[in-house]
Amino acid sequence: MKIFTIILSFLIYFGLSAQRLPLSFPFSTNANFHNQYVEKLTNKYETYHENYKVHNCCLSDFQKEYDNQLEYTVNDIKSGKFYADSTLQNYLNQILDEIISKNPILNKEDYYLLLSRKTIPNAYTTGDGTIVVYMDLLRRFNNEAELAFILGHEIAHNFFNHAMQGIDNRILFFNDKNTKDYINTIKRSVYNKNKMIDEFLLKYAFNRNKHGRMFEMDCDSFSIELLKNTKYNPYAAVNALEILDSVDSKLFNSTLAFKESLNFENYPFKSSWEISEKRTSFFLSSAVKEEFSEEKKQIQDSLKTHPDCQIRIEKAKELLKDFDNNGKDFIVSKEYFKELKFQLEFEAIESDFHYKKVNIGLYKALQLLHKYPEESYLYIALSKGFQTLSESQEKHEFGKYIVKTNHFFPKEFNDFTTFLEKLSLEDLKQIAYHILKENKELAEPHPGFSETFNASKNNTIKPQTIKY
Amino acid sequence: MKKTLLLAMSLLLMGSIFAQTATFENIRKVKLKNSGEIIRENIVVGYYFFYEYDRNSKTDVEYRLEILDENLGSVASKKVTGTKFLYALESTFNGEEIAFKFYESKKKELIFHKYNTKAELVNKSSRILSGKEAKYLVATYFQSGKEIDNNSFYGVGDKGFVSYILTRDGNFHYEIEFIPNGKEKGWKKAPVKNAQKVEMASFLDANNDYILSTVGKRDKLLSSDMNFYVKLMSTKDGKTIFEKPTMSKKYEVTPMNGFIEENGEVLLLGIYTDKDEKTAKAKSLGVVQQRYSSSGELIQEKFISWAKDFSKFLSVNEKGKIEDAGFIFFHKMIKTDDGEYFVVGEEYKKVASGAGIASRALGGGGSIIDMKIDDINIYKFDSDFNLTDVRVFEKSHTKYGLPEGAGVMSGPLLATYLNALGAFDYSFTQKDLDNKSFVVGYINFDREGKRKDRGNVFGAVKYVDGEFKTDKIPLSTDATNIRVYPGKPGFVLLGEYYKKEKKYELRLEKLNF
Repeated sequence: MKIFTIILSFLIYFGLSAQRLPLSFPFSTNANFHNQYVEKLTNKYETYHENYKVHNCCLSDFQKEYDNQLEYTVNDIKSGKFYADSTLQNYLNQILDEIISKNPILNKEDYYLLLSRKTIPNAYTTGDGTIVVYMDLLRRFNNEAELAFILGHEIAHNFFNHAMQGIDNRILFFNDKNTKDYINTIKRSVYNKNKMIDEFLLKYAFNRNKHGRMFEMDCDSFSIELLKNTKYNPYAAVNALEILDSVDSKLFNSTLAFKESLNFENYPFKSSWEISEKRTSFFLSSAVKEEFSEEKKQIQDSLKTHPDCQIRIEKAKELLKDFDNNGKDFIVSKEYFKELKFQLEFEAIESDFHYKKVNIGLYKALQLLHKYPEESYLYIALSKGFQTLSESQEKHEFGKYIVKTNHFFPKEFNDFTTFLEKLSLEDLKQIAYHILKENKELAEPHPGFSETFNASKNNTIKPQTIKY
Repeated sequence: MKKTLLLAMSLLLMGSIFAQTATFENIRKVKLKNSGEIIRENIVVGYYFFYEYDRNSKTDVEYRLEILDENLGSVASKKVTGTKFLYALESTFNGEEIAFKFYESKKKELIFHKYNTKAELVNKSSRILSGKEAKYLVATYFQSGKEIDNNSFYGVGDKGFVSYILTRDGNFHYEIEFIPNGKEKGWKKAPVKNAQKVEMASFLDANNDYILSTVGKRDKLLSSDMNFYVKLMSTKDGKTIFEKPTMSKKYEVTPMNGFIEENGEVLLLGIYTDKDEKTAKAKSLGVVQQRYSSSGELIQEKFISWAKDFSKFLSVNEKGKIEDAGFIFFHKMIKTDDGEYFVVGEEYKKVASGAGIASRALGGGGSIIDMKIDDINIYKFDSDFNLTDVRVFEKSHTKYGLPEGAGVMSGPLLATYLNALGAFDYSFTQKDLDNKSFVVGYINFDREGKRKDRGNVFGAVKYVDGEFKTDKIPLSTDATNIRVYPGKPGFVLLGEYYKKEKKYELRLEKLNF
């Protein structure tokens, strides 16, 4: 603990004073970091195989499902989906430890926390003690206590065995004689077969998710109770739920004036890149949203696995009404949390590039450039992003690296994607090069400058094959 | 390319907002009956997929009309009920309403559905076709046609839609039907007084005031001597403003494209042939531009001859090649907002068929003549219709085995026939939104390069910023078969069917320029 605090203080001192990304950026995602846990998890599943034998039914189905569950988690770990940084892991573990150590009903050995590099504002547990928090959720939190509430919520799911119970219930339901008979009736039907399948699956999903929603409320309550025993402020539960409630509307939380950042002295922004206001879409954006919300609202509401956040917030407030709060927002390190949030803004760009969402990564990089114009990494990221797009376009794989425009995205983001689609191969190469050439002084401090700059320069020299 | 897809497949539209492709996956048995582009003013603005969702009874089928935008985003899913003989034929958008044309083949019923911009059904209308009308309609839609342009259903300004069909009440006559927005009744027009035996109309252009068509007429059913007319009608009531023969003093003019200009004048582009030769059999002598006043007076006419004008732009080698190619089949004439004109053609000639001859020698059947389809030609004209450039874009040739007996047809007549069968490599032309650049696309088997690199490709020639550029997208993938749909400007949509996985995957690909 003492050594960790010294390391943290060192990192924070240099990080804050320079307002620069730390040397540990980007975080490692070396899967070997979690090797010990993979081994432990594999052994744990060996014991699970004994548990379902009590059902005395469909053992091969159980074995298959449990094997799949293990394989899914192990594959995720081995694919480098999770950060593998010892300082980060130690920091997160200390928050988890605070919850577990202050609640004797919990066993430290049962849980393992992973921070996913995916840009999804969520968290989950696989039911085997693995708790996954996505970086995009963490970077939206304001303090450790909010994260602690989410960890408590996932611990509760594990504690009450919700996920594994769900697997067992599903296997037992589909092996039930009545279910099998009904499925056979559908199979034999000549007419309305698909309707019957839909109705059957909907009914099943309604029942399953109705229980799921009850579980969510229980887990919120349990987490608040866990937090009451820690030094953390349990009122953070309300803030955490409010953040969860607003994640959809904050997908891209500011506008972007990309034209000025991509207008170079020797490669000016072309008038043909401007976004035409001529409407080609036949249905109004609002109508599309309505088509897919109003008509299906009833079904969607019934299929929700989580209750509305507002209901959860009210319930949390009720539970905290008479609680005498002496809790803190930070216990481990306020400074490291702040530094981590700062780094995660940039990690999100790396993540989007890694998961082939290059337009989202570029959009975020351009947004951050307005905020941190002296951050050398951003110029490197922009150049790399445009180079990736030019290489993919050369192979006719541009579409694989772009998240398509969508009625549910803000207009600014859709306009930016349309702008990228308008760029010719030569434009993409030239932008990648000129970003670094014309911002050389700002970009040069980055250790990857020379390599990225030379690659972008060579790319512009490479002849394009044109025959006629 | 617009052949009906009757693929028994399992599909589900995955609406994930982060998905790179919209995937139809294996959930339950549904049958995709038709799919196609939704067009507005020659530009792809979306796609529709019409599939059989469920059988309600022996006669009733429940369909789903899945509507995607130009980026493959799901924008609506509409329930349509009908018999098992219902097909979706075409779709068009006029800025205010989107309309679908359906056909019920057993009842021979032509059906229109229209939706407003809120995705609400505005109106349904239908009519029963005569047996012969139905036959012609089936031939039009279910045989071929690769063009991005609609076959016979177009938006008219933002006021409504116009549909062209061929009627056959003893004669062979067109019928033009205007369907206004909303629930109002439209109008139908057909030739009446002194009509010739055959009168066929094709759409050229339309706006809120006028509908411009070309009409081909001949007095005998089997005659190959056709005369062409340009016809301007009032959008409001279908009244003919003027109908003038396009024939000049020396030449017969076959219109290929036409435009209603802002001042109300009509601009016509076409090819011209010797007046004394039968039109359908005649070899074209060049291209022609005609300008008519809003009352139908011919006020300008300009002929550009292959023999005189084009030879100036061709090297000795190219000249020989074009002469050697025999004929050029003209697919498209384009007018850009920069005032330039472009003519797109494809070389073809009849050659002896090695396989056919061998088959005959062994006592088999088959034609001993093949049609050899060769390079794409693009001719560029300035705003005064002076020829300014001629480009020949080389591509691997395609040989198309002629049906037995077809070899005796004259070249131009045979080319028209083969075009209707989809024998040419040319696929479609797509314009950019600015109407200053365009892409000409073709699909063929590329024989260039190493053996491993050979295979089917989608080839494209793009005209942008005053330059021509080319690109090829390989179509040899793991898919069982692949269909290329026109895409939004600069893109094509690849529809890949995987038989084993029973999956139809859609993928937008950007052309590489």
